[in-house]
Amino acid sequence: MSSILELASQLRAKNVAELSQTLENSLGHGHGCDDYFDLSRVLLSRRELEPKIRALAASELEALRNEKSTAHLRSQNLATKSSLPEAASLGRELEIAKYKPANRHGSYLTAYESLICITELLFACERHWLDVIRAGIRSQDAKEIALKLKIAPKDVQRIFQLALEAGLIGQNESRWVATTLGMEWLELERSQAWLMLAKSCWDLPALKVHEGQLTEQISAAYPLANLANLKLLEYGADLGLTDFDNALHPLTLGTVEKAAKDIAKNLPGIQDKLLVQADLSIVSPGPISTSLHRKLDTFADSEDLGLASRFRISSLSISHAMETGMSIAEITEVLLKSGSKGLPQPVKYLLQQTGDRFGQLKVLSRKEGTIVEATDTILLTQISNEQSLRGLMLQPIANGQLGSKLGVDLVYFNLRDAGYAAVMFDEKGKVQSPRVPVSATPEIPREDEIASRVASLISGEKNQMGGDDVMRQLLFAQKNKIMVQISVEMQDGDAKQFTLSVLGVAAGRLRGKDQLKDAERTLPISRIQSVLLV
Amino acid sequence: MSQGPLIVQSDRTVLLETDHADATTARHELAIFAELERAPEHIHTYRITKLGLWNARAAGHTAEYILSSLRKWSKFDIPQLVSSEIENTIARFGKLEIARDDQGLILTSDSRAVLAEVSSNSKVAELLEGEIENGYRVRDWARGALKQQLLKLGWPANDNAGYTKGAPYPIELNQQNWSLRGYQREAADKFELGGSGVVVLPCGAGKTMVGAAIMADVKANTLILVTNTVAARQWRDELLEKTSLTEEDIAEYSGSSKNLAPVTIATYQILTTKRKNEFTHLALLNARDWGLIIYDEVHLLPAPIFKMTADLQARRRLGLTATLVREDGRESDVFSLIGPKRFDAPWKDIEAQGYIAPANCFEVRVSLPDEARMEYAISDQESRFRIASTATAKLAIMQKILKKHEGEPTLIIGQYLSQIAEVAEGLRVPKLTGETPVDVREELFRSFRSGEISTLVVSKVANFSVDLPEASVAIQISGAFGSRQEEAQRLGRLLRPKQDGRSAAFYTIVAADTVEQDFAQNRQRFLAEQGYSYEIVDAENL
Repeated sequence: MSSILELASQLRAKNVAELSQTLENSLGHGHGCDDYFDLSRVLLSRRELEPKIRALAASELEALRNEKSTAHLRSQNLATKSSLPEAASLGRELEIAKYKPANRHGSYLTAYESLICITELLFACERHWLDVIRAGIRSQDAKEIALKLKIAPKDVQRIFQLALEAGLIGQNESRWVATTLGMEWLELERSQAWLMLAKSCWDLPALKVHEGQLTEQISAAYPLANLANLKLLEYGADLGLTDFDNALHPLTLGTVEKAAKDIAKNLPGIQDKLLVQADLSIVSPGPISTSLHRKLDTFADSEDLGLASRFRISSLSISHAMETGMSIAEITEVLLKSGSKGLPQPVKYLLQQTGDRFGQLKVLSRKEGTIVEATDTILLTQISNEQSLRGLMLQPIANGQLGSKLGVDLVYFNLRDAGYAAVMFDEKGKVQSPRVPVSATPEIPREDEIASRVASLISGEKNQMGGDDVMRQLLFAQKNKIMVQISVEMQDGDAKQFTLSVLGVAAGRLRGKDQLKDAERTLPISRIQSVLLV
Repeated sequence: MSQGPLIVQSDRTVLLETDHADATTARHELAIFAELERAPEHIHTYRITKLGLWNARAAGHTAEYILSSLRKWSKFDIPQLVSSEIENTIARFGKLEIARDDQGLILTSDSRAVLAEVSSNSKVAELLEGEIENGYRVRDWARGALKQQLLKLGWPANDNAGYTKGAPYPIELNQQNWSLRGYQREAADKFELGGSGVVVLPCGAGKTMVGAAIMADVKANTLILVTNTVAARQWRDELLEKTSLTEEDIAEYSGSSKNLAPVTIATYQILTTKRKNEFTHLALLNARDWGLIIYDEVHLLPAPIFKMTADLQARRRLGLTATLVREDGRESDVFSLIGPKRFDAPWKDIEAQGYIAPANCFEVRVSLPDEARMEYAISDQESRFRIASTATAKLAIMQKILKKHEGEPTLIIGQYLSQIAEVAEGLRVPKLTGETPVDVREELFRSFRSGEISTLVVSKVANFSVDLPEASVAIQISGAFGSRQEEAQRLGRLLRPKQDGRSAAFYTIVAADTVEQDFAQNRQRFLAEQGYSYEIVDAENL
């Protein structure tokens, strides 16, 4: 950018004739001179200069304001002959950027919780269909993860953003997936894992930080610093570097590597010990290693994660593990190896029963959709009569077979959601794992309505309507005086429901009367996720 | 931070590792300020709640004590949010005090800000009258309502306004053939110190005896409120047997008889009976100068009784219950109007002392025959639960279990009246439902207790406050398995200690691979969480 600025200064110093000549020399013709002038104006505009001025240390800023040239100012192209007066004037004019420090507690424990949260997010990416939305993940997904981690959904969304910053999660079509880097991160020692996260947002200007108010320290050294742009202030509490607006000890150590060492030393120690209980829960009375967490995640559902963790097994979770290649003996071995003195009878019963029944309900791909197959024909009758599976349009096609025109994934996930331990088989009779291979390179999303509908069905949520659909429904409701129930994505990522009578639709906003509150509301149409006529 | 048995989590749950050497000591300290939520075999879960903290504060414990206890036993650092919340919550209790001066009730505080905050609330303001130094005068009738409102605002008042002594009446415990157990004496002493409040003891741990001991301490006219007539008669029988009270001293005030005596036992139902939109029997509450009012099964206290209790704040109040958890979430009203928890003993502690019979729980899964399966398969969701619950295939399993426990006192418990009738007829055993007249009920219970009949088929009517101490086997054939309270009550029927020391057996027959099996998982979880042994058995392997 500096060379462009330099070029801009030089171009600006020329008159029209000189400039035309220069451009003709370099470009072969003189058209578009005005564009170059525009470019030069833009490059020396307030928008370009301001970040440079805001990044100046106190002494440099003082020099600039007094129109004194220094080496640093020159290196920043703020003190060239043509730019100095403008930059100095701007330096005097700029006000301190408003910033409200994050009201978040941070400590070694929060650093630990963030590591657990990202681990769970990466597992969730692998195991579930997490839709890509503007706020990160859907509010329902965030809530489920937050519940397990005992933190607020908005904290999950923020930590998700941290994982994005670090490149651990990426986009594959309309689904979030763990990247190759993310999978490697799971294998790292905790200090290295923390280091990778911290490096992605270690963006404080050069400064010797002391324990105490951090924004004050930054502002004293860099009076015009735009604190809102500093990632470290955003994620500092999550990484255990800040507590509200206070710098914590690791941040005072000077380098991110030293901070990582200190954090790792103070994280709660790993205790790979498991207790298996008759209520089908598996409890670890202390932090567990990522590798054990990963094993447990294969055959149990996490319920509670933190300093201690609780998982629970079910016929579906065990069947899932078997689909991915684990045997009942291997599951038993993991449970017994990690300190359990023996398995309670209900656990043994469940393992044996699930093992015996594995694969009795098959889901097979066929040319025109999917086949659901079982030797138990009453079971198939029950499935075809299941209210929640009506959407699959399952029809008997042969003895012991139901057919659906929908895709195999969709049928499989819906059967499991309805509580049936279905298993996917390929044409050679081999069990198919439902886990999606991890994409090494995040792909650019493409518009594919069918894929989006399938994704939405898989995620078990209502299809997000397109803008046209929303508008059409709203106008229809207004014209016919029909009440609507709308779901709106709020700024914190949560979805809220309103029942409104539509009063007007204009300028991208919906004006309606909230029947519950007996009050008028104005809502941005771009944030409306669904409209239901009631 | 220590290598202790506790893990304090940021959602205010506390996990206790039961195999740890310090687990017992830590549990006793924890029970003071946290509620036990789950107690499976290895890890118990407690929750620190506002009410729990205020209960602890009411019992004289400070935030420093609670935090130092947590720090002493915690394996890891205590999340900062938790410790600051404990300090803030505890600091709120007692900031306001209700007391009495020579002119009447007063509300005082050393904080002008707190007084200003609460008095600016319109609902509080209407309960107050003139301002005095450091506070306000309280309207005579408003003591209970004020406590409720202040709790809602998060400023629970310390009620030091005292109690009326009530009309004295001599009551002694008659301990010739029995003696009060240690924990029962402790519960009575803790109540005596606090003046009013709730004693939490598991089913079968002898709550009636705690009530009797407190009556003997207070020695005054006593009103006992119970859930139903059968429970009223069991209270009467116990008091006659174990105290100096005679038949003339005890009266029953219920649908069938409306007498008054120094000790009067009334049902919640009679008190909440309305005629022309008026509570017909409200006068009972002031019919005598009661020195003590006992609320049995306080977790079932109907809403109108709370309202009536708000006007009885000058009388000593004792709540008895096995659980502070109310299905309607009105735990805070119990705290405000009956009083804080004064004593709590975990089930397993009492079981360890041999006062509650250990119980073994079995879930028997019975496969439905093809015809029944097909009926189930083609039915809608609502019908499926009933088809599974009332499957006739269960009858053969009941017979098997009865044969296995031949001669042992057995209750068969069901939800559907038609199923109960079919089972009673099929097994040729008497049935007892809500339609059974009270006299017949009592006779059936008596015959069951004396051993004349060994098996009874009962409906939900037997869930609450019916003491059948000899029952050692229960077979649950249907029920709303979603309700933890119902499950606890059913198991409670079996938890009375058996004279020969045998374990109780609790069977639940479930139709395999049906929605009933899914519901049964709630029960499995609850019972296992309470620490009971639980086994799943296929019917053919029974």
